[in-house]
Amino acid sequence: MGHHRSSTSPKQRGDPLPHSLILLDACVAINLAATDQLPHIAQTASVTFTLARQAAAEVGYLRDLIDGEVTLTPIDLGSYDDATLEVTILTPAEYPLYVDLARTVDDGEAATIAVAATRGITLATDDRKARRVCAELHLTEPMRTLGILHSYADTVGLQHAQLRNLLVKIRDRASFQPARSDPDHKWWQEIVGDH
Amino acid sequence: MTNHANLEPNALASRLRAARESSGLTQAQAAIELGVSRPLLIAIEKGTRAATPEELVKLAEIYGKPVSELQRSSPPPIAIGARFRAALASATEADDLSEAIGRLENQADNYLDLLRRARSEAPGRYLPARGIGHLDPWQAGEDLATEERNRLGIGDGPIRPLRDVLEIEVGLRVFLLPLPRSVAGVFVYADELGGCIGVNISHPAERRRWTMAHEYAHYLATRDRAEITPVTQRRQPPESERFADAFAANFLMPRSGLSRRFHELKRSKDGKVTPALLVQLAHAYEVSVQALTLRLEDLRLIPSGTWDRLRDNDFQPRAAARLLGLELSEQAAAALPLHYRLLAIQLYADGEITEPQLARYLGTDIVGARLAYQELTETGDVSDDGSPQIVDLAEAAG
Repeated sequence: MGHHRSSTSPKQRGDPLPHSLILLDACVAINLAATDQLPHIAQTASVTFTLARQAAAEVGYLRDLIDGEVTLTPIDLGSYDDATLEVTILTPAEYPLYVDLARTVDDGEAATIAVAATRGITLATDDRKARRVCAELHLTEPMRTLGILHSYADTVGLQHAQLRNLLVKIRDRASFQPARSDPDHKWWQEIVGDH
Repeated sequence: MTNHANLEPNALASRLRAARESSGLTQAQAAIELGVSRPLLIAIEKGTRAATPEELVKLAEIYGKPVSELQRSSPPPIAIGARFRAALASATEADDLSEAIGRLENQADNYLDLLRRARSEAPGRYLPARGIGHLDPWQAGEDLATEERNRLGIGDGPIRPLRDVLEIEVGLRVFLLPLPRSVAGVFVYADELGGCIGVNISHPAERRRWTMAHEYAHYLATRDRAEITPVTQRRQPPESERFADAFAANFLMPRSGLSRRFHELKRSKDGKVTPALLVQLAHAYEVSVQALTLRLEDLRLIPSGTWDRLRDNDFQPRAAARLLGLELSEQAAAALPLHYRLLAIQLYADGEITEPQLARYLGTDIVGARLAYQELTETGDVSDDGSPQIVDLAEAAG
């Protein structure tokens, strides 16, 4: 875990958390897992992250450099406590939309969007195609990886070096490059130092 | 959202049937798993009764297939499996090979889906099959190899980007597959996709090139039947195999160019033919020293039996190449055709497919797909911090 100033956290450990959910697609889940800070990000934002089972099946591996060798590190979603992350199963009532969406996008995005649409849960995705499908369904504009992290960094008051470390981990372990159209792209560039 | 007009009737039905068959379940077993009667499952597979969303989700789970793949708008290319099954009747590695054939079938299906999504066509022009009739297989192989080189305008020198030539100029689809050790490659002609070659991914680069050229010959002359090429030919190989080997030898090492280079090198070594010369020439043509030596024997440029003598004297071609600094750089060979990968990358860049779809097409996980995207969109330039600069095709497209 990187350094954080717990005194600035809005909620102390043990405080009751409001039951608020953010639905992640596999790609955002990979990015947040790469930070090694997922539990603290959830706690700080007073949310539980949720993944549809089909999206959870897509997360795969991070890439870590160990003794000069690129190593595949499995993303173990089961290692997070229930307050941090839960995996949800579609109900039969959600199947028709899921099946319809799966003609256009992969099973994970289809299940995620179907859950977001039917249960009214806030969704986070960076995927251009998935965001377009959300817009076609008139869903609330989804959050993005950098939006979640920017908010987290502001809330806990991360110092520049700590924040850079966090973002570099996503770049290197998850090979994430934000789109230029991402509202936080400039912020990312300034912190990570790419131009 | 979905363009139902593009859906081919019964595509779902035939995909469900193919998925059940590849999972090894009978209709009765699948019906029990689904909790319906056998006649109802048969009706779903015939397309006379539409599957409900709940049934479709459950069938996808039973067959281990994504719901999205089952709903592709065209039927699966089942002809590939059927043609191989016919050829497999006499093969001993039927079990081992059936997995590889399933993989080839799946990759061909992916390729067709990418082409459909991109509203594009696979590269290459259709060439009618060439009959070799009653010609001597060796002569037919040499004649056709020369003709093909002329048609492709590649002179008589070594062909370095062989796979590119076959994929882009000839229009073959080359897949590197995990095949049984004893199998060098496979060939099948699929009506929708053209000639598909599967090459053993675990074989050395030189051997893979020979296999590609060998299967290319099958495409040119005997494409109506699927071929499974063993590493070691039988003592009396069929004429089609002798023809394909003759074509490969002549296409990779044409008589005129090889003779010229051989004599030039021989002159530079005071007229002596040394093992180092053979290693050097094999490196230039990117073939094995064995293939090169046997070719020179055939062309009567060196005495017959030279390779046997080298082998009896425990000659180690790889060690010799290493010593001479002439090892082929064994780059991580891409399993999928370049055009296939570029189609997938461009569709992702255009926002036409999602990141997990890109990963599935490329046969990797999501982070692997991101790396592949960056690799295929990287320029030779570097950013200010020294990292490779990436041309974001999505941004370029606006």
